[in-house]
Amino acid sequence: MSKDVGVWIAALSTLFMYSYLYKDNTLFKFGEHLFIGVASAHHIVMGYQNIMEMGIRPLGAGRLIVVVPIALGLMLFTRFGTGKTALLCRIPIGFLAGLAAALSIRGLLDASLVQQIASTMKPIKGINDVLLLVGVLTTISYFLFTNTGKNPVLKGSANIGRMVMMITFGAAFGNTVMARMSLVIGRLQFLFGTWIPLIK
Amino acid sequence: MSALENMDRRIWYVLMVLSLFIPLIRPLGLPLSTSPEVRAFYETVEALPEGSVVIVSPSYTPGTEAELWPQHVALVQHLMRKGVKIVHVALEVNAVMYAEHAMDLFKDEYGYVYGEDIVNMPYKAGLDVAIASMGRDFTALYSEDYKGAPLAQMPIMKDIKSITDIALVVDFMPGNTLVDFIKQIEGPYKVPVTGGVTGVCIPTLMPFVASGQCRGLLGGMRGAAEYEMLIGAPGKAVGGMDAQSLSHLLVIVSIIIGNTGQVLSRYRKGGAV
Repeated sequence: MSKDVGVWIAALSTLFMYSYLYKDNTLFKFGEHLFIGVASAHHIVMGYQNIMEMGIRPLGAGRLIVVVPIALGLMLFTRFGTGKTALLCRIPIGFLAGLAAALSIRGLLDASLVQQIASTMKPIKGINDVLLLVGVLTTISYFLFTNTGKNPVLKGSANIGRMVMMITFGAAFGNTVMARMSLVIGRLQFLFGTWIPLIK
Repeated sequence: MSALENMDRRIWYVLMVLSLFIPLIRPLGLPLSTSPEVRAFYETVEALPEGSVVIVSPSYTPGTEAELWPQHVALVQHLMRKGVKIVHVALEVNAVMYAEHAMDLFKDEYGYVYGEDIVNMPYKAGLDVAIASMGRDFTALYSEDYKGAPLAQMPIMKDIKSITDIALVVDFMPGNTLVDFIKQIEGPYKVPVTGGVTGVCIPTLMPFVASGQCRGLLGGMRGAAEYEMLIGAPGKAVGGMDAQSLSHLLVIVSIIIGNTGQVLSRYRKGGAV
């Protein structure tokens, strides 16, 4: 068995959390609260370090421009105020929303739209290319919400598109199951590889 | 049939733990094939010339470590074996820790010197904002390493003036950072991007792999296992594959049993099947 205190804490915490599979109990609640506490403390420490590193130290070194992001960050706390003071928080929120929108548009148009459309325009050499074309067109036709009930071609295409989407969601669910199993395998490898070495 | 529908789920939990635990203790040696996406990832890395510089971004957390750490470790070993220089960037608070651990695993074996062959950058908040800044002016974003040492004095950084001097960007993500790298780095600056993702994110990235915007992909622990086999260094991921296969078989059996129970129950009640 491992003699490392950290390994023991991690192993016992893992077992506390998995005890929920039997039923809710005090050990699970303890582990849950411990995790929330440690995660919160970690975030606070990292937040403090970021503010010091990216704001206070450059300001102390004479980089006065950082006053702007510091001021915007402080204005976010005005949301806890009352009356007109509470409205001040909208300025940094608006700035953040505008920044996020600008970054998204810059990358989205080319990477997620133009390039993706271009990649569907390929010569048909096999069954996969046919499936790709049919899948893309029928799925898009599903989202044409005008007159699809009256037009038999669009209605049929939308039905095929729905089936394509259901297959896609099934594949996505399968990947999710795989991911969750992998996480459990990782925990078992830790418990029986590092804590109690049974796995060779 | 109601017994099938009302079976205590704790029985399934026990069966699941056994199906995962037994193959870890007694490996079955089930065969492992290589998917085209993993082969493309391997060949992208294999094509890197010695001395080129690669950005590696371990953007994952302890919650997704089981899938992404084996991928990260295998990549670092592959890069060091090829003599490729590594710049670890940190877009997630835990990234610095993972970068340091991965570096320490192999740097002595391959004779890597910190500052000459490998460097770890400090954490930068903002995710896509940080990535966009990397593309716009890499050297302005990073002036010191994660311990505060000036980068200007490090030999690894002497030829890095902009993002276009980077041969490849590899990101390991449970979230959206690989897509952000594709949008902010691969698109505007044409720097090749690839990466590894958790199983949940595979459907999100497959369109980008199919279009060539992402040069291959490692998907979950399975992707890590395939990559470990390709580089000839089977590790934890390969060790977990038998357990993964058996657990998936149990899930399939449980779905069949559950649905059979429900259909027969409805048939017995006289409803539509």
